[in-house]
Amino acid sequence: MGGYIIKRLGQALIVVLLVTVLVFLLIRLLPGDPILLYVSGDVVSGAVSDEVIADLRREHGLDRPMYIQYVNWLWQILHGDLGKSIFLNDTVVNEISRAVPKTVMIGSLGLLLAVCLSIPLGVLAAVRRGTWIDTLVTLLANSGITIPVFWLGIMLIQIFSLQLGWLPTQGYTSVFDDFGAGVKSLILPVVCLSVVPLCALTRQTRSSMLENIRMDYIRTAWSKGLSEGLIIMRHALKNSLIPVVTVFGLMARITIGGQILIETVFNIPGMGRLAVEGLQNQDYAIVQGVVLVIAIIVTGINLIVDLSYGWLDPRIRNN
Amino acid sequence: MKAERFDKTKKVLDVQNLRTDFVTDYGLVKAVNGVSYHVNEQEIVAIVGESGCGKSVGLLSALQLIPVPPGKFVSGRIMFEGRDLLRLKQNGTEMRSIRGSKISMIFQEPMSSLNPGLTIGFQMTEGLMLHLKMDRKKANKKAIELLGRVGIPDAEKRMNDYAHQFSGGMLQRVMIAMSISCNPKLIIADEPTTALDVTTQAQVLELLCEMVREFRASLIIVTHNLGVVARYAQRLYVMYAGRVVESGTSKEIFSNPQHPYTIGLLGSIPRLDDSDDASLVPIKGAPPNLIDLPDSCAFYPRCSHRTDACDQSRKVEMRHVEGEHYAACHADVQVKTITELKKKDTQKRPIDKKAEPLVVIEDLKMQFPIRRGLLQRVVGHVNAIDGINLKIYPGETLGLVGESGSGKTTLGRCISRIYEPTGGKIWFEGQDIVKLPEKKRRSLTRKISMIFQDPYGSLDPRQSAASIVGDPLKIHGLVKGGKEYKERIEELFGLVGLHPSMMGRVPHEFSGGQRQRIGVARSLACDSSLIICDEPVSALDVSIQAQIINLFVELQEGISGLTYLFIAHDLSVVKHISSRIAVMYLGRIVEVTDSKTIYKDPLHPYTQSLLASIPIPDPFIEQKRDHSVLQGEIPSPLNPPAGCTFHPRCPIADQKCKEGIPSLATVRENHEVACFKA
Ligand SMILES: Nc1ncnc2c1ncn2[C@@H]1O[C@H](COP(=O)(O)OP(=O)(O)O)[C@@H](O)[C@H]1O
Ligand code: SF4
Ligand code: SF4
Ligand SMILES: [Mg+2]
Repeated sequence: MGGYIIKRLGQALIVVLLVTVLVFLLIRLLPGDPILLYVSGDVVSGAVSDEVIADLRREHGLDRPMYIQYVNWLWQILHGDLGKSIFLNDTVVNEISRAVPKTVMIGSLGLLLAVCLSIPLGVLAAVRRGTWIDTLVTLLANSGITIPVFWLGIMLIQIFSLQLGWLPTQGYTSVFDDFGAGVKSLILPVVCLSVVPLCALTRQTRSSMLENIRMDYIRTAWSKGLSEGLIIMRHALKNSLIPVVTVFGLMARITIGGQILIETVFNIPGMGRLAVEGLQNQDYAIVQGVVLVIAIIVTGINLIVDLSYGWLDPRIRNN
Repeated sequence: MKAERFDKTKKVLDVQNLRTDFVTDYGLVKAVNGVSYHVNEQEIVAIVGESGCGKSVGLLSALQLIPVPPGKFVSGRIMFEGRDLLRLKQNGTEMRSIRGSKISMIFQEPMSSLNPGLTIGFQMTEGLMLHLKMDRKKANKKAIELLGRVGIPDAEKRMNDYAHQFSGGMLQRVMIAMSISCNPKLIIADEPTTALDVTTQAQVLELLCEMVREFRASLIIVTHNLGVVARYAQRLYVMYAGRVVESGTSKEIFSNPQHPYTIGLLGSIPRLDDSDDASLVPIKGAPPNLIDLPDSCAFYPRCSHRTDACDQSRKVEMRHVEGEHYAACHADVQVKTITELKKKDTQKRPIDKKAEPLVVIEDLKMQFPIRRGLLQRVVGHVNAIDGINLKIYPGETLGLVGESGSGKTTLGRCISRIYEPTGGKIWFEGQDIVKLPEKKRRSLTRKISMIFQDPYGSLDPRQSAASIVGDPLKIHGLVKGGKEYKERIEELFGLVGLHPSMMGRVPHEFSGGQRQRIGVARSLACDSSLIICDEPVSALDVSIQAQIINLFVELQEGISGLTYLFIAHDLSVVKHISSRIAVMYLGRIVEVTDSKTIYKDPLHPYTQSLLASIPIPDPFIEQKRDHSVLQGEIPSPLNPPAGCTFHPRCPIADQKCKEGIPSLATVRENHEVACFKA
């Protein structure tokens, strides 16, 4: 197992590196120049000379050949430095470490909520197949998955913040600073983010439970005299979770994209917002930093998904 | 130990007039339609019948193990320990306290019947902790003891293994251990050995019966193998279309079968001790589906004894024959003995042994690379075929037998050139088809075709039957013009007994037996002189199996020079159809001779063990036979034993066998054996 993890980590490192190369290239191939963009106001007023621009370029290392820039960037990373933002007047590391906790908090709570609700719901629907419970759960899951996150966010703000006034309309408060306000500021974004994974995971849990309940080994379990609860929880669930984990991995990746919308709707200064602003400004260092962090998170999720296959399915573990 | 006193006539389980229906989209399926059966203390009772006749549902109903809905227990009583089990709440505490503790079950496919995600140990202890209220430690100890008892080596270590780490035979041992663990009064085994090799089948059945005796339980065993019934069961129920059609002691039924269906079953199965001129007498048609069955005799459409008295509207009642023997048939059928019935007027065409062989195989080798790791590096080789010499004569049927994994399929595929052999020669019509370049080979290998076990997998699901059969005619340019094409297809359909009106159908619209007929027609279309049949009847029900076997025999009688290489694990089938038989073990041929001699005078210990493991459907003969079974399992060809590869399982092996490799030598005319002691 240890060897396997090391091998997978090695693979993940290669993938992350490739992603950074790609981003490094792509953002530089986009039309436009961040330095010119940065000084554009001043250029019109005639306040900056070509020397100033050249100085700025040198300061951000943009005057060197592209591969040198990349090697330098990698070298910096090894020293815990992701460069300096052109626009924000701060280091990328500082910017990202302010944004990451918000994004990770909302993302993981959203996924956690989805998992905690979807598995019991999916199991319940499967076990009570054909009853009104099943019909209701299936209907909700099928319709919920089609709701646009953006629209849902606005509706939730309308109802719970503007009309009922229970929750803040926007912004983010850390639970470590003010627990009550923190929780309140989290509720809407988290709920909003969890809807799609919740529905997808419920559907998958239901269908894979239905498939497993029909298996021969479940009949064996019944023939041993076990109770329905034990049969579901001990025998059927674990094997049913294998395809659910696959969908979870997919949903986790989709959720990262969903965060951009959520952070815009709720005006939360997280990674999504940072990425969008960075792209708009062509702030190379910011975009590179954000993509690096996201790539690491995604490969981390993939690794966890793969390891849980091994835990769930001994046939994979032994290979 | 002193035997406890028990009452041989006391009924442990008494099922009366049971009816179980299923509500389906197609209609009401009366899966079990008024069935009564019982089992006495310490008795072994068998239930036989072809698939789909309600055997499993009849038994699962006893423990209410049918999902409701779609199932429904309509009526009947299931008496057990003075209670009617049908009155208990389906998954209530009382019902559950009987399942697995007083009545336990063993199922057909051991691999799928055990949870792939939980260890064997966990699944073993579950019942012990639930019913015998043991704690984990005690349950583990007991489970290890039981696993050791059923012959799992290293039981303690293997407790932590999962189902996929065991062979099918070993898993069925685990299932037996599990079923016996709570000292049940009754074990119900639903086709426990159908999926297993003959030798493993014998091992598992012997073990099961031994455990049942040791624990003083009763056993109901479902099987479609009448040989198993004759060997082990004291009493027997024959089921057809949801009803019991005949019941009685095994001896009564085998010596005096009364119901035409029972007679049909007995006539359909080849027996090892059949005389050379025996032919099978199949039941015509196919079993009905159980929707909207009439109350009258369901066997009527297939019955060759039907009379005016079997009037469609009359309900058939069980008629007392004698002793415990009952049959549900109006007619008083007086048949000749089954042996007489199977006697054929025509003799097998004698094989011209002086003729030039059609195929000569010389020192054939087939190695498969074993790949490992990310880069799929070759880390070793499996010798699936390890130096085979064999001749196949024109017009004969050469049978090829051996346990699975012995390399039979691989040999067949080398000859038909699906595989590229890694060494040796295969002479066919005077040319070595191993070496021949692809282009030249094509016209030759057309004459070698293959028929597979699963006809469905080998037929294109979207092609019509006519074009499946007709394609080879076009590809090889065997017909001129559309008219001849059409006539030839009609002729081929007729030859294999398919109605020309079925030509437009696609494969899934045919039954298993019919699909096999399409496969045969396609081979005949190629003008094949050699047809390699790889387990062609193993997946079919006995009555259909007999029809297809007879088709093979008739075609050979009609088409001069038609030659079969017939691969099957069922030695009785192979013996019936073959003129000569080759026995394979771990990639080598260990014995070749004509089929009569194989049965009468087998020389290789492996052949002897194979024969001993096959029960003969006759309780009087089985009573006298030696039931000692071949021990162990076939080793992996990855890592074959040194010397004679059979020595670890051979009862007469000595030091010499561990060192030298015996080669296939002619010991007598037409009899070759690879054994130092032969
Ligand atoms: N494609 C393959 N790759 C690796 N090993 C194979 C392959 N085909 C067959 N074998 C091995 O060859 C042996 C003989 O197999 P097979 O011809 O299928 O025997 P049988 O027909 O008697 O079941 C088996 O142990 C199997 O593992
Ligand atoms: S009742 Fe008539 S049709 Fe039915 S099995 Fe007997 S003889 Fe045949
Ligand atoms: S050579 Fe020896 S081990 Fe092999 S079959 Fe003959 S007696 Fe048995
Ligand atoms: Mg095979």
